[in-house]
Amino acid sequence: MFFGFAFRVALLLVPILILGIVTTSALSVHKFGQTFSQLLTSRFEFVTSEIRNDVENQMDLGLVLENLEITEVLETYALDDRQILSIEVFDEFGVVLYSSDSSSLGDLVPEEWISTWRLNSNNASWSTQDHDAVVVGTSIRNNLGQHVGSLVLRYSREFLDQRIEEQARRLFAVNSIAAGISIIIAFLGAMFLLNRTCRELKLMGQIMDNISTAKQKDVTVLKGADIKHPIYRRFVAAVLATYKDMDTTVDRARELDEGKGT
Amino acid sequence: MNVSADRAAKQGSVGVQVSAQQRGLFLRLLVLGGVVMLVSQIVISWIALQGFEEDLKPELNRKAIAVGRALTSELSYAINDLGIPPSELVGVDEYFRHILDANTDIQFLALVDGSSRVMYERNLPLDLRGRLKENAYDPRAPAQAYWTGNIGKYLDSGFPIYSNGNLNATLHVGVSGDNVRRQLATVLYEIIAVIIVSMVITLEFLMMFMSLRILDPTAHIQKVLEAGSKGEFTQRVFLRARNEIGLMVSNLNRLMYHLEQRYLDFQFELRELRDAQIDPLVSQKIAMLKTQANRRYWFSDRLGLVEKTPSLIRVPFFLFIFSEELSRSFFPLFVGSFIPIEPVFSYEVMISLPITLFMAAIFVATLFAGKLTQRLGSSRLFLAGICCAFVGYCGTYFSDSYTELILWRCLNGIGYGLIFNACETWVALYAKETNRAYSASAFVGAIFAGYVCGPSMGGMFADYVGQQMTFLISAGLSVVSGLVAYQLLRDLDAESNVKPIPSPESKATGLEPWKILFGNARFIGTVLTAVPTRATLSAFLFFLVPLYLNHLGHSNTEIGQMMMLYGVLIVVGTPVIARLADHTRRYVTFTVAGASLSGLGLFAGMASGFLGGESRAVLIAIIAVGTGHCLVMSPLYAIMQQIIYGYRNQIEIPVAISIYRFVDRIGLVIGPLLAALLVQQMSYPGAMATIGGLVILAVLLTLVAVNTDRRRVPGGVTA
Repeated sequence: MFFGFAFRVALLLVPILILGIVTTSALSVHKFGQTFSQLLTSRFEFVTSEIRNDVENQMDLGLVLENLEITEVLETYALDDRQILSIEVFDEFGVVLYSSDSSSLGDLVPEEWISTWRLNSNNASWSTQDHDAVVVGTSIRNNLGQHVGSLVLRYSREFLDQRIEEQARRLFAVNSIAAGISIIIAFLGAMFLLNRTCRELKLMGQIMDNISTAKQKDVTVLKGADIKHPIYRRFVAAVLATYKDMDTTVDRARELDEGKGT
Repeated sequence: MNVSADRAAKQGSVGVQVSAQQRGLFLRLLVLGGVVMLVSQIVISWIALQGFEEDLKPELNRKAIAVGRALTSELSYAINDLGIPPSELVGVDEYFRHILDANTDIQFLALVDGSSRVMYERNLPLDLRGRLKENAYDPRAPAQAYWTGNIGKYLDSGFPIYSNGNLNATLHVGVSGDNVRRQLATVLYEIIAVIIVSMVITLEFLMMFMSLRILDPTAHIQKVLEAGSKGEFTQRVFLRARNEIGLMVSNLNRLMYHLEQRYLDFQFELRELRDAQIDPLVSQKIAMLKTQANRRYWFSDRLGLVEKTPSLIRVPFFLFIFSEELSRSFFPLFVGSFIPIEPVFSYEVMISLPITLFMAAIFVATLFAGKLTQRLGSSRLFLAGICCAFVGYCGTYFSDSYTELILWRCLNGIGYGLIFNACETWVALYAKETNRAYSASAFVGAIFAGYVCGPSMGGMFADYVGQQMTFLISAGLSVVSGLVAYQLLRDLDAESNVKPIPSPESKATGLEPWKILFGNARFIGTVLTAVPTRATLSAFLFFLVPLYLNHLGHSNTEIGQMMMLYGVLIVVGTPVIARLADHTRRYVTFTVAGASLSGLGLFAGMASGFLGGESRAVLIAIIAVGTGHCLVMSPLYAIMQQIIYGYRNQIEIPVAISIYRFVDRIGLVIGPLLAALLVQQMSYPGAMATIGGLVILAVLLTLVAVNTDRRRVPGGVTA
């Protein structure tokens, strides 16, 4: 199958172009996900810090963690925001003491939450990932400054994943169009740039073919031909001169043979 | 000027003209590829960021609402439950400051009275003071918990505080899209890095394609046409290609064949006529006609292969360097995670050891590579190197101890050494006398194109898929490099036929080549510049930069992007400097200037106070070292080639190359260790400056060596 230069050059650009576009898109979507997740986490960090303030205020009044009245607060916050799956308070052993979802009361939280909390207990907040949720937590201190438990808020990953997927889909559509246009421009550009060279090569091939198949064997073969390279013209001229020279030499030899020449 | 010289000059000028046209075409194609790539990436990034911003703004507003609700509840408690009038509240400013400090994505907070007069505010822009009423409570609207509107570039949410059913005050919480834009903008640097990498890859592949499919075949066809235009129909072109050149070549060969058949008939006819003659005078005249014709044109049916060029090795070499450089920006940090709890040496030395031993493995491989190149040929040696590198990368991925890591990296080093030598020999074999520095730039350019792509992409990969996984990506890239090398260089027999390497019997062996080369003051001068240049590369760029920037809190991606600058400078500058050096023939001047600049640049760390911080000082040092090396690389290689070429009758070219590389690599080996020892004793800027001082000292010694050589051979140095 015949593939011209323009096609080949454009073909060379296509995978690199697509690779560049795919990498850029992947980076952009990743950054979007990161920024979106940061915004969500920051909002829920604020919510948890507000609830923690409530909890610590009650503890400052002399109540112990097990005897607080915060279930209603947790339920209100959870009901206010559809993205919140649950808000829980667990003690230092990981037992859920309060929850916006009463079915989880008394349950043990995952080991990972406890270790992440212990590791980050001095930080303002901590976060970890569940298979279907992102967990944002904050440590609860009593009025002696001891870490007695933690407040955790679980929000749905589904929402985040959905937004990322939507953006990815939108980018895929936009990028496919952009890639298509770029590819067409690359093809047309390559054809435009290589057109002259390709035409000259084709024409030169045609002229050579004409000479070798004896369709044309004089200088008229070059007349009107749009060949700019002097070397092509000189070569064709030399070939034609050689043919003519051989014919002339044979004629002269024949004349000598016939006794006409000197 | 005699006739033949005149003809040669004319030929040369035509050759240059056509070659310039082809190069012009190549440049235009390059610009086309670059522009399409750049524009498409910019448009895509812009569209992406616009969409992202639209999607992120509501989320940002939700945060503002959460904050507003919480604050309103606190303020309502104070105003309604405790009965404090809003204008008499105490500590509101402080409270607002505390909230804004903890929530940097909120721009301002303001509490206004019923007539939108500001009572308390934090960070409220001056121009918004009188404009808050634009987003005030509408008494005709039903009572709401909050409302949101745009004021200037801000999204303002108002939270009413009622007292006995009357509006007492309103809390305004403002957010700005600028914040989101700033966060998203950080991805722009990564996208710029991707654009640069895409452009470099486009350039490399386009260069390979143009060289292989257009420039080299047309140059060869031109030779045939040039010879033909003088009546020398001795060559045909062997080229199989289904494109315009392929068609033209087949027509050309057919024409040459047809012309040759006509010539054979012509010879036969003249012979017949001559042999049939009884009259010896006529017979003699016919014979004379035949002889005269043979002087005007002559034939043979040799098939000429398209000559191999130094640039052919460029793409596989570039891909290999790319794979190797992927881990450059984080390797010292990666080593840090393998250091045992009780290390044998100091932490810094333990980090430098795998890098030093990797360089030492290259060093050792160079020792054997010279002889191996003679035995296997550069193409097979390249493939052998790729096998070592592939196994090394996979081993590094699976390694789980410090010792294992060192072993696999050493195997990588051996692969690197073999490949490096194979490429260098290839360039030395196929470079023309007139364009040594330019040929060298094809080789040096590939290395630094790898330096552009590797660290930046590697840093990103490390941040996104993990440092260990990046080695697996390197393994994959090395396989691609091997496949491309196999495709391009597989004509192994032809390689040895083009320029057969002379038999070793006639050349110096053992320590003799060393004595010959080190007897040349110019060679010593070259080595004195090459060693510190290499040492700067491995000590500063490979070791100090990642550690120092990590110490300053930069991510893998950022470190990679800063290191990429070095490669960008080299890629852009090397060909320009190479041409300039070839034109002026002042190779030594370029190397001395370059080494001095890189040495001085390393003092930047000491002046960080004047340069706008430590990170900026490192950046300036990278730029200075990059520019300096740009001036050094190609001219240094050209000097080395000149020297080696001068001794070609006494020393095998591959042997001479491996001797030079052996000495030159000492710099690479000692660099990281030296840097580690310096960092142990002093600060990072101090270590950088000390290395800079050593480079300046080496430059002075080079000048002494070059002057000695000048005095010994008057006019012998063209510097």
